[in-house]
Amino acid sequence: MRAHDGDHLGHGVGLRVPHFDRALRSGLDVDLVEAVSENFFGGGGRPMAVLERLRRDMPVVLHGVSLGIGSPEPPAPSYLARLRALVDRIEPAWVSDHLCWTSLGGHQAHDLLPLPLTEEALVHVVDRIARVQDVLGRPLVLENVSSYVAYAASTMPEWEFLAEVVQRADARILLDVNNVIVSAANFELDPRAYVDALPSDRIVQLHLANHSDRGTHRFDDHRGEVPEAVWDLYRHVVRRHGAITTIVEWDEDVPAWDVLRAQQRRAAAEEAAVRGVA
Amino acid sequence: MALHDQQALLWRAMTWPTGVADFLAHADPETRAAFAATFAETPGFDRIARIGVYAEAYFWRLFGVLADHFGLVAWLCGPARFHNLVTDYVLACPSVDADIRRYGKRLPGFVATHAEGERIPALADAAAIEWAMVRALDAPDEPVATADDLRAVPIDRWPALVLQTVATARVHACALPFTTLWPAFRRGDAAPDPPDTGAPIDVLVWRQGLEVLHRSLPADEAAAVVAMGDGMRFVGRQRWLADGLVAALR
Repeated sequence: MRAHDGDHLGHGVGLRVPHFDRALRSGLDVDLVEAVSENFFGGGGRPMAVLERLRRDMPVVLHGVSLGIGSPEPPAPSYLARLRALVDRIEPAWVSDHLCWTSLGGHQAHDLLPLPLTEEALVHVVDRIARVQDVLGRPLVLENVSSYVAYAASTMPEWEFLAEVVQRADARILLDVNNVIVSAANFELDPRAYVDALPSDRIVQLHLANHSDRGTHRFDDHRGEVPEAVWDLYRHVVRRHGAITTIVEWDEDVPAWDVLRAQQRRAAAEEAAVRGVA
Repeated sequence: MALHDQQALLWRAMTWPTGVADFLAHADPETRAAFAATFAETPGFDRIARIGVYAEAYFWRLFGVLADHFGLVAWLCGPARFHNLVTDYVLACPSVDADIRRYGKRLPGFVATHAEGERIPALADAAAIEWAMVRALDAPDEPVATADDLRAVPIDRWPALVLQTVATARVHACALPFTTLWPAFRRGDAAPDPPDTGAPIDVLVWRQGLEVLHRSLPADEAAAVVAMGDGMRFVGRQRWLADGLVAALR
């Protein structure tokens, strides 16, 4: 059954190749999984078999990395067609991607590049979101990215930009708690001020992940266990915005299933503790 | 500066092959002024270093997917030469597909004209086979014929049966002993330097169920598989049925 955005689907993990065999053999004992949309554009083989097997058991959310909502060129019609086909086949609870840009002149960065936080960028992105939502037939969920460079022309803080985008476009927010920590460290921001400024009724999902400290900056590498700073901010998010569907991301040096699942279990326990629920 | 111009400037700086500082060193005064005006400066971690984070990620993300998809090629080249090959490929062939798994599509052809392809004859052949494996892995599912399907067809209709290979089936000629190199690579053996080449062999790549498989083919069988790609009459290809090579009968 398809869930609707705003439902609390529980706590899950990002679906990664090392766990495909387990998923096919016996399923995954979490509440939901998040699948990277582009990894399933091929339409068949082991990847799709895994996704469809899991979808029979639990909700799936789709999370893209190459939509490039803020890119100079609009998303290619072929890309949107592939995404729509995947949505129709899997019936995810929602579809997300990032508030960033990813390509220029037909070339792909395969990275989440930051936008200037300006009215011009706001208008540009809101227009693109409207077109994508028309194609998908549902609201788009946008994630805040980790940033490493800022534009001198920016006229508002990142949280204000994100809130304004989703308000004008009637979109939703995927709040990446780790990315707030990373961007806050890289630009001397207050992570709690960031979180507090976001509209509760627009946040449908959270991400938890790790990052690395490279001395001069924090880097969002999604390798390793969720650090205490992220757990601390997660508790604050739950206190401030309530219980929200949460996904643990671990993309590099993906661990054994038991290790990843332990992170998912901790997320559920942390939320329950904040809410005073056994 | 307009949004598009800001984005174009970031793009040029992060994709400059020798780094952001060198980009600025080679830029005209107007571009250097635009760079200083566009990106906020911060002490201790300056804007050149900040954009350098994106520059590093750009290269290493593409390197990672190629290393993953062309493991045998990387093994035969060795780390330093493979790094150089990828560096040249990234410069010559920027990614044009949103699906990063398709980035290696042009690598076999690139290797054929690259110095590394000249140093290791038939390296391009090996790259083509590895690429066929990647494509087979993700290809759409299709029904395949089985021996039971064949038994269900009245025997007097057999001569008229048209067989066709599954869409993932591809035959590649390779002057490297691919079918012996592959298990050595997978075992983690030391790579031969250089690998022996000989008369080309035909290597069949296909997907059966969820597994991507490959094997060498005698010349006559290879010709038959290739012909079967366009549809051919059944001539006792029982093994092909067992291997899941035959698309559903029609």
